[in-house]
Amino acid sequence: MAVEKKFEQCGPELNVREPSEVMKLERMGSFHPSRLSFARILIRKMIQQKTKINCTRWKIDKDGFGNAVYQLNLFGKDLALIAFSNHLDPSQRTDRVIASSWDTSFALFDGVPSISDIHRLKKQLPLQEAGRYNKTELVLSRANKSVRMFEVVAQSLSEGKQPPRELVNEIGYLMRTTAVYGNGKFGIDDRKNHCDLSDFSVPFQLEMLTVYLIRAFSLDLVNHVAKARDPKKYVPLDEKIQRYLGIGNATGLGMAPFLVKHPVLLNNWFQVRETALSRMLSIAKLSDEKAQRLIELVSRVKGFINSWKTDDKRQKIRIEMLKSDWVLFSKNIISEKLLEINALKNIFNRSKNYSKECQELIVSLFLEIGGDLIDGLDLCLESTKLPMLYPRMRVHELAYLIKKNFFWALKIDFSLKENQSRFWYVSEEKLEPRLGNRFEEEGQDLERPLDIARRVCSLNSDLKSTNDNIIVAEFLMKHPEHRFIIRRIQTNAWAPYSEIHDNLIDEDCKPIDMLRCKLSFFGASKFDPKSDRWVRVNLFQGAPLKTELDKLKTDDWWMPTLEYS
Amino acid sequence: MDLSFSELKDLVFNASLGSSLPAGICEDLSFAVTFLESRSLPGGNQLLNSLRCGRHPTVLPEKEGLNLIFNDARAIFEGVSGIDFLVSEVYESVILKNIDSPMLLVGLASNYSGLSFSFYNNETIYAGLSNGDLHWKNENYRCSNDVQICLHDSKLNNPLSKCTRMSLDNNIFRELSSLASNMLVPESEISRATGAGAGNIDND
Repeated sequence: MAVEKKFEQCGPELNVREPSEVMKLERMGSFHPSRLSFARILIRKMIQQKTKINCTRWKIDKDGFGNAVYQLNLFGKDLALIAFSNHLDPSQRTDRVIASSWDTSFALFDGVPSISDIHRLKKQLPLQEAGRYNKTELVLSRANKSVRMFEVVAQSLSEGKQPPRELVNEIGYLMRTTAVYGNGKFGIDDRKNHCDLSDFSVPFQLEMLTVYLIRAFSLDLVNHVAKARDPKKYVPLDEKIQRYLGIGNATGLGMAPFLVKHPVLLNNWFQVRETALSRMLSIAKLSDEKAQRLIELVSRVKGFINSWKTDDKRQKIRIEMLKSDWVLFSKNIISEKLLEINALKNIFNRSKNYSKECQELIVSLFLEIGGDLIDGLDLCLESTKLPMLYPRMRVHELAYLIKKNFFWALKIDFSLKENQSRFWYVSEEKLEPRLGNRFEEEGQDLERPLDIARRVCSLNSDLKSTNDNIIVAEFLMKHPEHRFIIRRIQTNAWAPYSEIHDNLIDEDCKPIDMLRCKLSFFGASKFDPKSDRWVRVNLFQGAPLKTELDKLKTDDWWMPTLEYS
Repeated sequence: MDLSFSELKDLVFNASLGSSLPAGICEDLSFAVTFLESRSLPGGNQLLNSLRCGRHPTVLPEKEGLNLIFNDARAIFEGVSGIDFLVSEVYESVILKNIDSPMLLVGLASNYSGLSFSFYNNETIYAGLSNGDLHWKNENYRCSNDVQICLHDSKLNNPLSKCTRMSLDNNIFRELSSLASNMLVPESEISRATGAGAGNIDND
């Protein structure tokens, strides 16, 4: 595997799409999973490592309650998922962070857990945020059963039947995680303590592994419950259906501030994606094999789009448009055209007439055939350098950076109410991140610093009345309130994709676009918005089963369709 | 209290925001305190002491040759500015008179990774930073005194070991948590119903 030089060290590549084109919320909210998504990277490496996952403890009763342990060794490290399944009164079941009990709770454990570890976690894990954890725990999570799905599948199997195809297709998972906590939360270990092993340095690998193991548990659990109901009539869940079932996830606003709080990480994710695209578009002539693969994938995507359901009006319209765009696009994906010189570049340039949903799906499609040309970029996804202040910079240099890179912010008139009508805050209720209306709700004095564009404008205004030959250190001595935004502006000079080019406190700001962007990097699909700040997705849909990882040679589960009738 | 690195970092950031400090200073403090605590130095306690001191706008410094002198200095105001000036290489040294927390200054300087600093109390070195290592001479450390910082390698060779977990005094944890809670918006019906964008029950 090629080890790429970190972007932070080598700066931006040439021939990539400009941040002004890519970092707009509307486009970010059109992203799809790709082979550089974190879930894909994990599965690809698990296949390369021929990872074996063993269920080493299964103390689950006939109703599906109890505990279980799944053990594996990945990149030379022993890891275990400890799972607890409890009875939950239906009235207590909610996906909101403010819930206090769940059907199941999980921990990814560092090493091989002892019985005393399991007993300790049996008390703590069901408490989730209210519990306290040790450095042996790496990730915490919890999940609720899909009320519509779990029972029907269990009952069908116990009667010797496979579940109805429509239901499997419509829902696509047995359980939904409602939170996955990593990196030191509630006392669990810090991510940085496990990144010396380079393959774990790819972002969110431990979290993705946890979700993948939860999916394995959900499949084992439904089979177990069905078999216990009627061992004679029971049939196991068809493997094709098992493969098609991922893990649902209900995601709220918490993901949005993450993208703003980690500007270098955001930059690296985008720079990897754009660099990968640029490499694909630079291919002068596609091989026959890659051309054929592209044709197959275009057809698979069509099936996937047709299985994408939502009740959300905005997303529904977008899916319908995508369907018709994809039909038009497909017409050009024929061997003859794909074997022309600069075929991908020409096709991509023509795709600008399609919707952004379609354009970004084409990006993911092209990356899918990238293979060795782009896979090594995964090591550039993490962030090893922090935003740093350059106090020696002259004020006129800072003003130049604002004019050059933050022109989009300077266009916003913050004297208008509609341009600052929102504020981001954290509620005292389970520390849930929320978005309020500045002019109708209490709490704007407790606003979190996500108002990047407004801060740029405020700084720009103060710079105008400052001697532009002084250094930033001197300016900051008089204006410490601008320290936060100056550091970001200076960081953006070497991390050009570190800022979202939109006003995040605008009346019309749609946080869902930020959620979808982040979730697409995770590898989630089937985006099903429940409002402009809340979305359900599916993770690991189509991924190999835990028993298949040591037998497969390639990972080929992008945009899966249900092969079952 | 046994804490992870990122847990303490977030706690200090929120406690600093809850003390009405500018967000950029809060970022610096969160790393500074965590840097010190990870070297088993009481950064959290130093921060709280610094926050308890009376507020004032940054007192402008005096120039004396290649030295910059801040009188009646506080780490979270003049200390931050002094380090900025030093890093800018406009002055050879920065002198912070009657500084409230010479230790916190060391943590704040550590945010400029890749640079070397030496810290003196009355011309006696008490700390040095180089290559991310902290060299500490406890016998020379005074809680409140005049401090001189220079931008060069102290050549001390006994770095403090770095812990992967933070052991924070329970009282300090409680006090920081209390300050952090100043930033939480109280519960309300409208917040619960519309703030997160979902209904109170969201199942399928």
